[in-house]
Amino acid sequence: MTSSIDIGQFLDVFFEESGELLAEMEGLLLAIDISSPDKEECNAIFRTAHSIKGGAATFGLTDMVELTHIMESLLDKIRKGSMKLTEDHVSAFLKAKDILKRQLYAHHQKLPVESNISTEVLGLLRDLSKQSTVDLDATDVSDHSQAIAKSTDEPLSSEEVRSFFRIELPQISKDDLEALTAELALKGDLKLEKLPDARTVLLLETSSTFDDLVAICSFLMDPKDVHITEVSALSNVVETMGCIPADDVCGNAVTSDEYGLFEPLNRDKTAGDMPFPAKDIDNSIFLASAHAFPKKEAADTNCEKSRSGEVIVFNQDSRYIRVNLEKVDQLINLVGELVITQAMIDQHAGRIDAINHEQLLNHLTTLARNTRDLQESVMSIRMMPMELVFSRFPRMVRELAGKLGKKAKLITIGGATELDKGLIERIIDPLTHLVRNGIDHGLEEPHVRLQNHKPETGIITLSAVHESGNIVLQVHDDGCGLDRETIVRKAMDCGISVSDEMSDEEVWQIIFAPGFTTAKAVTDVSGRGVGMDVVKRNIAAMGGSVDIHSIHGQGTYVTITLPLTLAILEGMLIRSGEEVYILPLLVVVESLQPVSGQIREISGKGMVIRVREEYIPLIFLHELFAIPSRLAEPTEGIVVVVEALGKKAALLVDSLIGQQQIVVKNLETNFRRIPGVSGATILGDGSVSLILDVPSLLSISNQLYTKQTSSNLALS
Amino acid sequence: MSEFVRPIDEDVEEGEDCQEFLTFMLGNEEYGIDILKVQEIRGYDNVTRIPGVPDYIKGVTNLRGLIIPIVDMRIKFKLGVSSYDHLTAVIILNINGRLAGIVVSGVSDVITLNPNQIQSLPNYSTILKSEYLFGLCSIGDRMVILINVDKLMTSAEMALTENNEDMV
Amino acid sequence: MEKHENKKILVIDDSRSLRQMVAYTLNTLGYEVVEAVDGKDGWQKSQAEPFDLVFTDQNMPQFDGIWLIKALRNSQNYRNIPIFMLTNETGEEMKALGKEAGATGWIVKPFDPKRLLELVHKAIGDANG
Repeated sequence: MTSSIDIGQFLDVFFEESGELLAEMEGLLLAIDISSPDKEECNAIFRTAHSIKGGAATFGLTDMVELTHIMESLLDKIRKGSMKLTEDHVSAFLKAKDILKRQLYAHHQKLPVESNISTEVLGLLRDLSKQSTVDLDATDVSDHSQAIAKSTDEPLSSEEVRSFFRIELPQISKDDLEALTAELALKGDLKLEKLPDARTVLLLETSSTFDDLVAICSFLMDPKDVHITEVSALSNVVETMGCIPADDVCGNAVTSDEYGLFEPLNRDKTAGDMPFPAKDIDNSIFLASAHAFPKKEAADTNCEKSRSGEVIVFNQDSRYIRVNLEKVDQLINLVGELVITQAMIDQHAGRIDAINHEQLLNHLTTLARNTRDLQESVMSIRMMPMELVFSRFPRMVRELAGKLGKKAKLITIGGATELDKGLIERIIDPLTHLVRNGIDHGLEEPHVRLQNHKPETGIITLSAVHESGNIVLQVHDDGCGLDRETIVRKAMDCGISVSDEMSDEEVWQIIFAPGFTTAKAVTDVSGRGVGMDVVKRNIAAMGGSVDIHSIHGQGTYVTITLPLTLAILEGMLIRSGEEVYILPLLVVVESLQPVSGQIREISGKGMVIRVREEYIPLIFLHELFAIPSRLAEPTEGIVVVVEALGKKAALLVDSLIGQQQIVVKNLETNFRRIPGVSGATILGDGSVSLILDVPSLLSISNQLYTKQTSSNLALS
Repeated sequence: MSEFVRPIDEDVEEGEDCQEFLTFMLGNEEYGIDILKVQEIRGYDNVTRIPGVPDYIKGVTNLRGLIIPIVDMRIKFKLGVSSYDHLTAVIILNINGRLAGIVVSGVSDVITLNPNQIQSLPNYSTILKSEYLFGLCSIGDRMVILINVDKLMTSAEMALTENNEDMV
Repeated sequence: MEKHENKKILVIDDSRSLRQMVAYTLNTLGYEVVEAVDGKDGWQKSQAEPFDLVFTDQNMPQFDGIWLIKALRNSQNYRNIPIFMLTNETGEEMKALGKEAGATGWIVKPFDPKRLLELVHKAIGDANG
């Protein structure tokens, strides 16, 4: 019929898919409300384990099958309501997820899988399965108290050996079957199957021995009639070992271990002839199942719900395509060039006669709009929701709080807020650091919180919001707040200069100083010397800023402001000598033509320009960059007032060329950072133009003036 | 620019171990670099000046959307006046994925060498420091000095990278 | 040989690897396969064009397989089309639910490709018959 089909080619799909499923599983586990778990969420977690198991079985990855199988059985009970979800379950599942991830990685990399990595978690899960069985019967089968007592006497060590038994029963009465299944369910995980001849086969995963099972069965039936065989874990799960019955030529219903028909197939039937599905389900199966899963109704209502309820969908893969990021960046670059070309055309169009070329100008307006829209759409490809970052935190908060003996709850706000992919990746470390700090230094121990009339559980809030072309991220803890005294004292210890006149805001800024830490002891968590200075530096490198706001005893807000994207900026093109530079429009306050009385020299501080009532330091860009200027007098040039990090400065340039959107390119890709320059772009004529880094220009200029006298600047 | 990549001395046997070198002039000396490190050769054009860098770093240029630095080796190694015209050649090097252009006195040839032809360096003074060189070979009356171009271009001396570990 | 319109099969499973494997297996014999990622997607695709056979997983986000089978059985075009459950539950419970909903039969995941083809062949014959 067909030559052998190589399933190996689907392995990569399986690895990728399982990775996604594991991430999804983790997200769901962390999000779930343990006290009242949402049914659909339990279902979704179950499905992740279930899907991984299916794939792993297909590819013969038995270690993963073993683990997912036991997770699946537990989750099945939980989603059906026959077991209560506990903190222990979630922890065990999270552990199992980590192990699965390692197993997956090992298989993917074709590395040997450490054989015992799953032993511990398997034991954990088995213990949990066992507890459940007891609970279940304690509530539902009260007359089996004896058996319960016996079962709880059993050692609960995780090291015990569990085996799978296949128990093939003779024809027995419904009552006997019920009694037997109830008894066996106490011994471990029980599954029922119906043989074609209406006999029942029980599959039991248990630590009981063969002899125990024979003993139990012999209460109800002749042991001779019962066939008990020990089977391997995998065959129990995968069940493809049975042989296929000969092709059923008569078209009777066939059943094999691999596939089966509920009714004869009749391909020649005409429309309408085919009977509607029979409703008479074999009662004995139904009852037996109902007994094994006492909350069967719950499963049904579950079905009902999932029909109508809007459920969060994770696997929308038919709506997504995977694209290499390089292709996206290439697209962005090309659109960037298009925007530039369009801007050049616009400039030229400004000079043509508007009446004779009315139509052309109309079309150009449309072109401009379309270009802008295209650029926005293309840029949005790189935008990713902050949720991608936020989703890492629930687990971290949970584990860290546990480690420190604190109670913490994480609230995230604005996960849908989008940020450029490049920035998303780079914001993870700083945010992690801030959240760790919040838990470690911010949140108090539960008993301290209670003393201070605060709820025992501290709250860490992570939020993201768009604000005028920026994204504002905030990490808030409702802990003890920063302590001015401690910081000042510590700063003195660290040799940082402080004074009593400093405002709180200035004191808070000290914690960004290199080497500063207030941790009383160097904890495992923070206070290892990699401090807030690194956070600040990383954020500054992304073109952002960090602010702290803190109220003693009430908590701390750390606010990060970042540009939405580093790839495009609105720029002002300026000329200085032969060079064209770009100033980010965001930093430009105003531009003006200076008159001679406006410019003064302040001894030792260089030049200033008076703009209205304000004296602003004046930087001669051509001098700073040592380029020949065409200006004989400053009054021949243009002064651009810029503002960065709360400080104003005035740049003297030869002339302004115009404004346009520019595509930011990184100088470091093939070269290195240049002081005073944040990047470069390619102009419409193909030449490279440097983007000025205003904060860095200001500091260079300061250094320059403190080093040299201003004797050579006697221009006014 | 195809005249720069014309092959090869006919009398050199091609074999598995053979390596091709692009040779160029620096002053009166002829240097060779592994041709696998050469991305392309182009003219000197449209270089944007960078503030605050040594004079031999001429600036950056646009290579099909990439911004790459251009270094004038003639200035770096003080070989007299440098002029730029339509004949000035820039060798675009690809060092571990990073691109940089070098301006040299003239590109001359592509040569194929087998390992036997590469002699160790004699102890004499060359324009380039011996730490950036790895061998010497003579073809007829020409003597070609072979450059370890990775080492040269990532050296602190060239100041082309953030720090030297970046590129290794 | 006369050119036949190929038989079309709808495969609904939330596992990408499984879908692709089923699709690949069936493609080798010339069946045309359309994949759907969940019950809802499967339903929408089933309504967009006719299929000769449907394979559906049980446990899926959005609408689950049992619901889908019922829905298909209630729609005019799918009353008599074979619908097989893809299941990795060996227990009878799911099969019973499937039978009640109107499934034609079931096949256990993971399956031997030969068995899958055998089943399809039994149900609808050759790809272009």
